[in-house]
Amino acid sequence: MSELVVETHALTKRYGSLAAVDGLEMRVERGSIYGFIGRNGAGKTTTLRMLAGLSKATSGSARVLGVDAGRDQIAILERTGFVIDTMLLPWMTGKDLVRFNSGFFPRWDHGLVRRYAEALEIPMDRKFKKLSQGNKTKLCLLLALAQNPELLVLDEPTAGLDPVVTDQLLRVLVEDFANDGRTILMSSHHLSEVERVADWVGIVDKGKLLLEARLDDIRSHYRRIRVVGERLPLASPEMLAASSAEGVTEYVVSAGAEAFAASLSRQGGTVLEVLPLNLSEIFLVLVGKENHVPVEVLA
Amino acid sequence: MYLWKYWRESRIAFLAGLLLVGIFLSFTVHGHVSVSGPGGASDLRHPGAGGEVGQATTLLLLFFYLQIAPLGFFAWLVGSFGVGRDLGEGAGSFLFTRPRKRAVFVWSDWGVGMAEVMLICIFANFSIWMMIHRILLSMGDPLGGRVVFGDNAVPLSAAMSMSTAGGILIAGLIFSVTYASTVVVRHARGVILSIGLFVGYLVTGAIAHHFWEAVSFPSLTLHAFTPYGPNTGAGWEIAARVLLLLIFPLLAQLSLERAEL
Amino acid sequence: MIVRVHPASGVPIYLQIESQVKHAIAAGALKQDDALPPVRKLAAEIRVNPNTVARAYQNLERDGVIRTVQGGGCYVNGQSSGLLKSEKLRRLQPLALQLAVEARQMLLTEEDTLKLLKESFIELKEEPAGKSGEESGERA
Repeated sequence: MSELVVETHALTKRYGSLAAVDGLEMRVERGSIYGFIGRNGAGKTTTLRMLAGLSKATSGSARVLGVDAGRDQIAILERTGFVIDTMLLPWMTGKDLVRFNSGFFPRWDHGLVRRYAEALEIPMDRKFKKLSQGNKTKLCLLLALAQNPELLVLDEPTAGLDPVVTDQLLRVLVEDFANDGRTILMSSHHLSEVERVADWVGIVDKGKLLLEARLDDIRSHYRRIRVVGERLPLASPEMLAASSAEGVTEYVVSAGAEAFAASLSRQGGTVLEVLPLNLSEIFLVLVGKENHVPVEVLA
Repeated sequence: MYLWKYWRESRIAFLAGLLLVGIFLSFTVHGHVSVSGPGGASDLRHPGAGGEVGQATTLLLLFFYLQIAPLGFFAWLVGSFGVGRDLGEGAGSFLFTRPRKRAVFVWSDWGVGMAEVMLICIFANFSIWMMIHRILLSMGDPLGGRVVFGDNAVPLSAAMSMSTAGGILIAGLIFSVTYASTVVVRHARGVILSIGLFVGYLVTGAIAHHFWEAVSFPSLTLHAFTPYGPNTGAGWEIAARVLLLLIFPLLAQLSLERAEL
Repeated sequence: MIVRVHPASGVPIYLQIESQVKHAIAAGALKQDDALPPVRKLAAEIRVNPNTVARAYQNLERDGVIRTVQGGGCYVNGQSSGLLKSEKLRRLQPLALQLAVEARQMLLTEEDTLKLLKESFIELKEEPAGKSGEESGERA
């Protein structure tokens, strides 16, 4: 098992009786791009704020780069670039911010600043408050990248950005950062970007991690099986969901699709198709927006 | 790098403060001199004094108490800068994901702000010192660089040092309370809380004293002068007041360390 | 060489890259000893995780389709790559089975299916070099 740059154990954050994060068990491997996805309010930002030391866990633990978050936070902050809010000091220009930020990081690379400022076309002489949202985000990312961190933690980096800027960002992340054991943990609810670049995804809903898997495993093994027939089986071990509508029953399984389809055939069902699922579809299945008939009713 | 930030934020206020103090000084001196007339007889003479030299003392005392206004205002203004303001502007998650303890941010802000306050106070007091010195010289300096307090002739330098200490302490207190208020409130509008605290203290003190004459709240300003000269027993009071003004950034630090951002 | 991937198709991206490279070679768009772009460059161009591209390249090398050279570059191998014919047939067998299964499901005859296969070979020969990359992307 590859080294973990982020691991959480039963991480919980309560606000009164509401658990924004509820027993989260997250594992991020070194060198990967981890897409942390969920709806608004699912607990993504709260989790990342705990990793950043901005917020304290109610219970459970989180380790970043081998260090307990909250105990030696400075050690984490020296080696990790956090972009939590895209808000910097409003009166400073890009140049001011570079000067300001570089003082905190001995491994700061001024060459990288020049390169990213050009690649991302960021106006470095304008005050931060006068920048467009796209430029603000890009500048925040520039500051994090030039810090030369081992780990980049980004909270919804593409929120509010147009497709051109999103593309620029992804290109920079993929071309410059993702390599040589450096890791990206990014939260998003834009599944298409995650689907492009992530090797791992963690799907979170109501503070709980519903699924954490390699994206390629999901693509290779998760299947939707559409069957017509009566008295079809109620469950299979790897079944994630089952639903029935207009005479067609659909199963979503996480493995063994071929075998399951074959067994359905043997039981008299007609298998219409066995389809792969993309991230958006898995997400909807798990987070429950697709219609579900309770399993007991299927027979 | 971080200290530079505070300076950059506050430098306009600092320059405005210098200007403000300059204006204040010229009004004070000008006003006093025109009221009492240069070198002439006046009701402001101290009995038993060397006549005109008594005016210098009056000017000094007048200045000492009046300086609280511009210096205090400046201190209040400068207290609005720093992490409290940054938090209010939403830059907290950036600042506190830099690898520094939160305490470092607080004390760096406070240190630069306090330095600015001290510089302004020293500037003001030094200017008055020079002006009084010139007035003495223009009168022939009969007491050899001394000014009159009651029956005593006290060196101008001692008196001005005490005045400077007093100025720094009250302005420093106003600054510390204001800065801490912005941090605790996590917004620049903590400055309003600070006004509230001072006014509240003074009003409560006045009310308490009105009903129970024996009760009187400690003064906010240093007991710098007695009728006989600078208060030589002020050492303990100065130390206590220094500790007092250190309590506020400490409170700010504790508040910030416990904060959920 | 432009590879176009469809992240939302449900097919692992590394497989898409592999199949497009193979298609390009089969159609003559990539010739023996042509260089493939370095992992990071390709990843940046198509905005995909470098690990994914690396995996595709590794698999292609394992299958004898490309080779890596000491300096780090990747080059296309000759069409007959050192594998035994029996091994090559073994690798193609699942695809053949899949084609047979689907054809049977749709009640197509063996003759129809073989005709389809023949036409595909003809199409490959007729694809002008340079266009095949994009077309294969469409079909992938």
